[in-house]
Amino acid sequence: MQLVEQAKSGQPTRLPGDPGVWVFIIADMGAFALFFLIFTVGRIGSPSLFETSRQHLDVTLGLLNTLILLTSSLFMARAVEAARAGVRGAVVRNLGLTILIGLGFAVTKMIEYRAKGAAGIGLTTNEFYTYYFVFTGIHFLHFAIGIAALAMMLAKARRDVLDARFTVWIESVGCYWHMVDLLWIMLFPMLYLQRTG
Amino acid sequence: MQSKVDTRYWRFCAYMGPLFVAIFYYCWGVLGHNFPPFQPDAPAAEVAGWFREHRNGVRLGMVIAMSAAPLYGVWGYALAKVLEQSVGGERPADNILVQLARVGAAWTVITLLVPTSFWLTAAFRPDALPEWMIQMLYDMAWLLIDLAYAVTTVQLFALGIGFMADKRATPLIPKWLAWYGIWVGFMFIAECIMPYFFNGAFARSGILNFWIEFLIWMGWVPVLTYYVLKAITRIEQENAAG
Amino acid sequence: MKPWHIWLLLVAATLTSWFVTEGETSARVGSTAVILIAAFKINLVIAHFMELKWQPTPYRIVLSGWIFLVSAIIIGGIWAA
Repeated sequence: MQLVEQAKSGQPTRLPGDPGVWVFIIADMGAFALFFLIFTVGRIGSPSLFETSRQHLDVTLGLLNTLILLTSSLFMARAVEAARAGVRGAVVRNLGLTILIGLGFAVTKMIEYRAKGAAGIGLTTNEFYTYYFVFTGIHFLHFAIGIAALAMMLAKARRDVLDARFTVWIESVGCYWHMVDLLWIMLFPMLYLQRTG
Repeated sequence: MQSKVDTRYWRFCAYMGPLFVAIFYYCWGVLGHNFPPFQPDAPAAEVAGWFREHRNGVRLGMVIAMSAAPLYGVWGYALAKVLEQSVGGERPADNILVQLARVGAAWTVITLLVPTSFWLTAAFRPDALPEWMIQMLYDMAWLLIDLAYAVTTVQLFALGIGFMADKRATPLIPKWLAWYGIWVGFMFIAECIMPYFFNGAFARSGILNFWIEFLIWMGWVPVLTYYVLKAITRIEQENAAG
Repeated sequence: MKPWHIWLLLVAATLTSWFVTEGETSARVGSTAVILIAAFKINLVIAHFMELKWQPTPYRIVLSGWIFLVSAIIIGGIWAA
């Protein structure tokens, strides 16, 4: 049965990247599941506070950030494809675009944080903003580590042999980067789009 | 390949990790009312009242916890010996990851000793101290023990990266555990927001900054010990095989 | 499907969720739809970008369980609030 599936999709059923990285990814996603639970419990407790606070978030910037990460993820997937094909030029180009587009997320997030600061909204303003700053802040930290890992991969892609070892590296970093993307995919509607009343 | 590895005393030292967790949990946690701690917004009278009533329990708990604190370092050195075998090379003891793993464990002992002495101070003459001062000592100890996370992160990262450098077909310590340790060290960063909160998930008694942070670390100790003991057996077998 | 096909689907889903919230639908129905769209997008990312096609392998089961759990938590909150 599995063999048939494999033959159909033309791809092996193996896990991309280093299996250890997946332990980190799953553990991390577990932590975020807990964050979502904490937020939801808080929201049930004071729906009107969450709703009025939510209305001060900039939905357009949140939407822009979603599109930025999705696009960055696209070039990441293309870089992995290129690495498997052993085409150095394409790996370097796609990784470069992954980083360049990804950096847009930092710019948008800084504009957003600064606007909140200017409006006198901070970490301890109320329960909603506490969650907003803590969860997006921890997510931002993941993002920053991802950018550093991608920069390291870009350097490796320029100088190293594009062998099986390199593929495991780029797949591992790629899966981590997709995780940064998918966490934001849920953070965005949870924080910015959920309405009450 | 280097000559025979002397593995005497390693196992004994490795057992000190789980022993430390058990002792520290009971003496610091249960006797000291730190597992879970008083919520930061608990009134000073409540904290002071508890210390006054249970002074002898707290004294006993902190004295034993302080005496047991070095066991964490002893355990950390046993881990570093196995780490030497993971990283390999000419002179593995000089490898910077091994040195950081050792010093991270040793520094962690200090971050356990100092706050326990603050709790002990609060229980030393609790009738003579005003309530706010007992509360202050309690807060100070908690701020220190939580915000010293980065010291332990040095150990966690050095071990994780080093265990992954293992060139064996089956590494001495499984990769998932190496990654788990790195994740724990990374998660500790949530402690940075703990000083801003008096209740809720991010307070020192909250679901994230207490329950998750302490349990993922305290759980890591016995699990890693189990694999370290297995690794020591393998190192001895490698020795015997020459 | 090529990665950029998936990307087009993801962008379309993102814009849809934005219109759903801006639209006239009831808050609860709208919010539920938005979370379901997010769950769909996450599944696409896992299946095509992370390359864990749906197969009953341990990691894929955990990730699918995660999507289900997280969506159930948030949607449960929408109807309980």
